[in-house]
Amino acid sequence: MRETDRSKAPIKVGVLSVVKHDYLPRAIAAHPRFNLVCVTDDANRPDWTHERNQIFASEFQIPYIQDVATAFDEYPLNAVAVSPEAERHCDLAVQAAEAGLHIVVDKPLSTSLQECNRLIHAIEHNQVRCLVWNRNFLPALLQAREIVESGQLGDLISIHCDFFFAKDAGPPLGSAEPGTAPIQWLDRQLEAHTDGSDGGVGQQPMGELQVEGIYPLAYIRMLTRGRKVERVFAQTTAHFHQAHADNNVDDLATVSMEMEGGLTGSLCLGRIGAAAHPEIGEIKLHLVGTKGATVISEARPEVGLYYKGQPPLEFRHQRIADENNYLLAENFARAIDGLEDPILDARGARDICAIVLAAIASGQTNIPVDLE
Amino acid sequence: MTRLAFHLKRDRHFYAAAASRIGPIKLVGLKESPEAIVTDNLDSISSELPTLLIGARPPEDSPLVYPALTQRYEPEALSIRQSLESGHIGRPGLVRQHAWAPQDRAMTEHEKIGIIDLALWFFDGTPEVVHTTARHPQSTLLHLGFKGGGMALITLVESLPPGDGYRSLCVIGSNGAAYADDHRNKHLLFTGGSPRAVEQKQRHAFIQPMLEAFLKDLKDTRLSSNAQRAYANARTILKQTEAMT
Repeated sequence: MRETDRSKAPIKVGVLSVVKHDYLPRAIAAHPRFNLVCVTDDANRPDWTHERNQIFASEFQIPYIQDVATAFDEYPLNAVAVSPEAERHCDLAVQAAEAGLHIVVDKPLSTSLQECNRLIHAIEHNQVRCLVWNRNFLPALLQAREIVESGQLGDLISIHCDFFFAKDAGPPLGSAEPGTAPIQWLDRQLEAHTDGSDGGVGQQPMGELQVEGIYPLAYIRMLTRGRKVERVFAQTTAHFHQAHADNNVDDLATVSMEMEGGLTGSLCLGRIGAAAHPEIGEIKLHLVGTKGATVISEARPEVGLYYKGQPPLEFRHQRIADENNYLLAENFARAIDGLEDPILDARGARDICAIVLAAIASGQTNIPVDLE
Repeated sequence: MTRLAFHLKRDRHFYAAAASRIGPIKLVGLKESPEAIVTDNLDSISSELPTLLIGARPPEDSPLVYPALTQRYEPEALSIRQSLESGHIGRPGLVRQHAWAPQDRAMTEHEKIGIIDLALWFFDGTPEVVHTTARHPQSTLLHLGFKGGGMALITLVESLPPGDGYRSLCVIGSNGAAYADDHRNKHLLFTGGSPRAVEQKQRHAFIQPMLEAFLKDLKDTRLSSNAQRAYANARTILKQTEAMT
């Protein structure tokens, strides 16, 4: 990827809520083309929201404005970094689009197709660019794309992503004493903030298909050059975590996909617990073509680190040479400059949302679900 | 001491070597009053002696035939099964398998049955849900759902260029997980240019544990019907799969 023109004026970014993990605004802040200007959120948010927004604003020594419209009026913004609860992603992003601001938004775009469609309309009507956060620039993904595009595999026949995410999520399934009240989703997510496992923070419970499914599905989308998924069949369950079982959402899922052009796809996904892998998880791509096939480990390159007194939750295998965050920010800047498309835009993320919703419906009924 | 007769067209010396490591076996000929037979030849099946049948479907009405589910005895499968039985990785939730074969050596029905059986064996049950996706004649995706939420996803591919195949097996349990695949178990061979990935040879490692299990079945007078039922269950799923495609 060519670098953006560093001599251009910095792109001024408002952080539009930063209440879960804050990797997104940090990645934007770290890129030389962007300057964070302020943090803003709606005034009527609960106290914990304001506290987290304020902590981030204080660290970056920028103001925290408790009113989005005021921030848009008073600060000369070009773009926003949107990182609230997932259920608010689209609503805040729509406000930004209506104000003519470019958008980089955390994943997943939404759990509601109507919300995705509302955002797409706002983006297209106001002619702004939107990047949805993803991991398509991980080194192994870039290599996978290079292999596919080289033609060495021939035409793709099938593509499979096994995405086992080795994190915990509170008490294990079955550990609750009889008569114990069900775990409240938001309470659990607030508690999870300390270890960064609060990707599903919000009022609305979200299963792993909704929280993490966008990553592997974005891989598949990129590697197949956006081929549509036509039909899905899924199995879903809560196998590991009490919070998921109590809130009737999945933490383990398998999805078979019938794709455009006779392609078969699949996804295995789970939040399988920290004990289940020495790294962030076993994540692999299996690509089969008419002329060849390849197996790609998403974690590579990595280094194994083991030592006395190592904290139990520290990853024994650590990724190296990972430029995903930088390259996403670069891609966003180039999209704003009109030089290329976002690697995952709102339409792409909307299609992924549709696959996830279809998979959840299939998992509840054991019946394949057609996508429009 | 069990008097065992081998009547094998392939790999006889590997079987003999494996048997030599097992104490209570005396290898004898078919005409030397064996107590049991190990064969890969349907013509050698005895109606009077227990027979371990390798690589073929047992004929109907052959009550003494034990179909050999060889893949259960591959080292990685045994290790995973032991982890499940010991409780180390907890209750199985997901079994993921990739089985790829080169296009000039398509998988036999028996091989496919063995792959499906492995998932059933890890779950100790038969699936309630079977779904198949096959949009290309050389690629089948088999999706199984088990009672209690367990699931298995099996990719069968027969389109690789001539050469080695590929196997991958993951079992995700409630307390941990097991990962075994050819991606991990390869060596690098440098002969100029990019190195080749060289398979760690263990092709015959299943033989000794398989023979030991057969002998144990005989000793415990365990009926061949158990093995036949397991074989039939996996074959039924394979036939369902083929009917769906």
